[in-house]
Amino acid sequence: MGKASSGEMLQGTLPLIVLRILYAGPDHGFAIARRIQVISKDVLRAEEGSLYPALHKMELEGWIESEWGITENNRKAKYYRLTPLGRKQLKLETERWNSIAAAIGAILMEA
Amino acid sequence: MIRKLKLRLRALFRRDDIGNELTLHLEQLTDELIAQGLNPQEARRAARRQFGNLTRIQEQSRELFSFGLVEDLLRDMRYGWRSIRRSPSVGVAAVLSMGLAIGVNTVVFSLIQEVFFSKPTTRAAGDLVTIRVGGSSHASLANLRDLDASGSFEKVAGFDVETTVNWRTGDAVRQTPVMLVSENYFELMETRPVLGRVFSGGEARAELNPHLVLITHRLWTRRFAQDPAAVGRTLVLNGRPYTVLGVLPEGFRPPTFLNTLPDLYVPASLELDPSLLMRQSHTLMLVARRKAGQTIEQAYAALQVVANRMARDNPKENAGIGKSIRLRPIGSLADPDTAPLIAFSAVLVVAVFIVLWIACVNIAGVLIARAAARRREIATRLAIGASRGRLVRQLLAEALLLASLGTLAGLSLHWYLTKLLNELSLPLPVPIVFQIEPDFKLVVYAIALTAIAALLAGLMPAWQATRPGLTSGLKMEEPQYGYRRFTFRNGLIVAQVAITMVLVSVALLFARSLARVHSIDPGFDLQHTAWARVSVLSDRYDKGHVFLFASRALETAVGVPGVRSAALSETVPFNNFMRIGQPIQTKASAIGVEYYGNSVSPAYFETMGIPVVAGRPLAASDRKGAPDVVILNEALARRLFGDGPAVGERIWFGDSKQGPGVEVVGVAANSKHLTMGENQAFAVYEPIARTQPAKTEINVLVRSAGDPASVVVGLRGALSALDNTAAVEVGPLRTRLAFAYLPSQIGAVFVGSLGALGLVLALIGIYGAMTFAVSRRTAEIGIRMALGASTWQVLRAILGTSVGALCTGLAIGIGLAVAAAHPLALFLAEGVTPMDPITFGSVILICLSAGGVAAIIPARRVLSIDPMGALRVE
Repeated sequence: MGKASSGEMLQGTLPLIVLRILYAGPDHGFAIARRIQVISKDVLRAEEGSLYPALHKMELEGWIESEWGITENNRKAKYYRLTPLGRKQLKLETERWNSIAAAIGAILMEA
Repeated sequence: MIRKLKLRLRALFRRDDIGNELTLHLEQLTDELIAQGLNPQEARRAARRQFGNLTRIQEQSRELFSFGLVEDLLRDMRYGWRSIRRSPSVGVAAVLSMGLAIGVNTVVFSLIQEVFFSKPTTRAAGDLVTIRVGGSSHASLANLRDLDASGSFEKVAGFDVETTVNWRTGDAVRQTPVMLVSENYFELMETRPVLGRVFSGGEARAELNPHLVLITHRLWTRRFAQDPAAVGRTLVLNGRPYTVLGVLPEGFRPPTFLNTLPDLYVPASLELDPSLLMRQSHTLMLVARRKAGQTIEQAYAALQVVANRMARDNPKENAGIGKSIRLRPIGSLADPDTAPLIAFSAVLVVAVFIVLWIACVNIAGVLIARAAARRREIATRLAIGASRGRLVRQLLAEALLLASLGTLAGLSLHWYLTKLLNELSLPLPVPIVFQIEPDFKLVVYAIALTAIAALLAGLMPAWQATRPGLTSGLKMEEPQYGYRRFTFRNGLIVAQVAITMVLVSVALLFARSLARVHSIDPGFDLQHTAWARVSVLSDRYDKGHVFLFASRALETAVGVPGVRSAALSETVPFNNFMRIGQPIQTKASAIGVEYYGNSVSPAYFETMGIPVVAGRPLAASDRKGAPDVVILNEALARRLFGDGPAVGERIWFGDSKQGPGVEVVGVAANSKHLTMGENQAFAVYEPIARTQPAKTEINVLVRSAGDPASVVVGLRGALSALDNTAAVEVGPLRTRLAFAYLPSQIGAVFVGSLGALGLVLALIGIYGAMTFAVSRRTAEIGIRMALGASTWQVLRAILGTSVGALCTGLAIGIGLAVAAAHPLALFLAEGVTPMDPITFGSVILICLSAGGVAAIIPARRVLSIDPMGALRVE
């Protein structure tokens, strides 16, 4: 847990990040957490305490679906996969993020 | 929506899913840390630290997926099940109480549904309407055909359930009710038989005298053991062979009201009713199928137009036919004839709800007792932070469990009772048959009842149990030593006793009414009389010859061994009657009266045991051609002649005093004619040899030397030998008039058994409450005894409040019962008023002694308490 505050997720961005990572292909919880860490070069960390509830909530929303499978090192794991609905949601959230980022950027430039 | 439900269900049944997933994550984290060089133990600890609170995450997700309520409920029910298993006898008593209550509730529900709401077996039953024209319940076949041809409806057909045929099987001929139907009846009903076929309009026309019959599935099963070869066989009806054309589907229901379900369906024909084709002869009730999309209002308007046209086309026979028309959907309850039935159903519904309420109170008692025993547990849980709602839910779950088990028991009872009802054949002149099948509505009703019962039985105890202060609960203190006289439990006893009083009073009123009806002296002898009814076929005898045949039947009956005397009678009391309203003139005055008229042969009074109190009985010489004579009953003689002698006076029937008049030759004692309840009805007896009625039903009444049952066989044989197409029905008058008692019998049986049931249930409840009071206060009893209290004092202290509650309940109950009994006057026999003192006296006695019995065992337990042992209880 005890990482610097920079490692914490921005409110409400975890689903977007998870959706984007699953866009690349099905994966299980542990791998998702690792990938977030690796891709963001350790800037972002998905804490287990928020990752799993978020995954379960997204499953309930129908954006992702799950299935038990076997990991590369022969462990049983629950794999999450993007659904068509999830793809749509990813597009929606990406657009929203871009517009927010652009807006914040504009404010930072102008002010 | 469905997907969410699926996921939740999966979470419910695969609880470990989330746990597994998280554990796996933890393991992978550990692996990684080991790979980084930590030793396994440290790695595990570090992973754990990094991961955070495993359970919290798990719960967070689980809450997301779960139906929290359902899971809690299941858990609570499992818990409840364990505590029931611990004291099975209490649980069994509660479940049985609830089972009986749910059983009778669902049976009454099914009965009401069956009698009032069952739909005829046809496509789109809602499109069927009953039609009346000219204010008459029946219409002529000619008018039916005009209505059908008018095109205002898709089809108009007719039927009649008051027709009987003489059905010969072997040597026996039985008068059997049939459904007489118009040729297009089954085309309107669109009936698909299970075997054979239904008749079509072409082959079943009345003019062709079709000898075709359809039988019900019920008859096919009982008479033919479902033999497929039954189709094509012949039944001898009215002396002619009728071919069985087909078997109607199981549970077939024609559009008749009140479960009149004959077993034979025959086309109306000239042979069965020679006047069938006459336009004035109203033979058939009308049923029509509305055209698609036609509303009731449109159908009514269309009927009005056709009726007006029919009145114009046949002004003489159809006069006024358009003035009073009626069109109603099938099964409409608006018929005034059904008012008493609806009222009686309401009484039943109230009674079964009272039984349900008593059962709920019983379960509430059980739960309160159990909750009180768990007082410490409940207080502890409250203290460590369980919400009150959560604990209330738990007790509700127990109530629900008991109620659900009770419902299962109740539905088995329902199954058994409706099976009995379906096989019941009522001693009625019309074929009233029940065909109750459990259906979806019943299940919904049972579930609703269960929920209501669980709430009623569970909510109050739950509220009560979670109320007391924490400290006293934790210390196992009983907060009501002596001071609070009115406790919730005593409140339950009061309510239970009061409600039971109402039920038992109503039951006793019905029972008293029944006893009363049975004890009423009908004014004629029922002990030594038998009644033979010979129904001859109208086409075998000319008008005058029927009476000749009747005379032969009388002679034959007199010759049967064991017969002391025999008489012909045009009417038989309670069975059929002629009520005549017209003025009777005497020399002095003209008096308008309504009287029962009857034509009898000379031995009638001797045979029936009706004393002739003045003058002479009728004689063989009183016949056609001889001077007119009559016998009056006492009531009429007094009405016409006051206290003066009637014998020898002359009277004139009708408005004028023309001719020599009729001589009163005798006065007979009063007797009952139509109902047991009637009082001092007027009657006139005329010599049958003079009136010579041409009715095809001949009644021979017989007085036997001994038991009337002993002459039945001889009588039937002798009378059957006279005409092998005639239906002969013989039996003791007593049994054959049994249906006169039927309304009060049905009332007494239904309400009486409910009353008994309620009493037993209340007894269980009171017993439970008192036993519980004793067991809760064992320690106190010990102290009192140790301090030297006498047995009597202890008894008074312990059971005093319960007995007080019992008496309060009695007092309230009497008030309620008096109020409740008032609307019942409609169903009670004359002489039994709703305020009947004997009834209420016995009710108080019954309830008091029941309360006493319920108190004996707890009282004995008090007496057997050993003070030392009692003190050590805690």
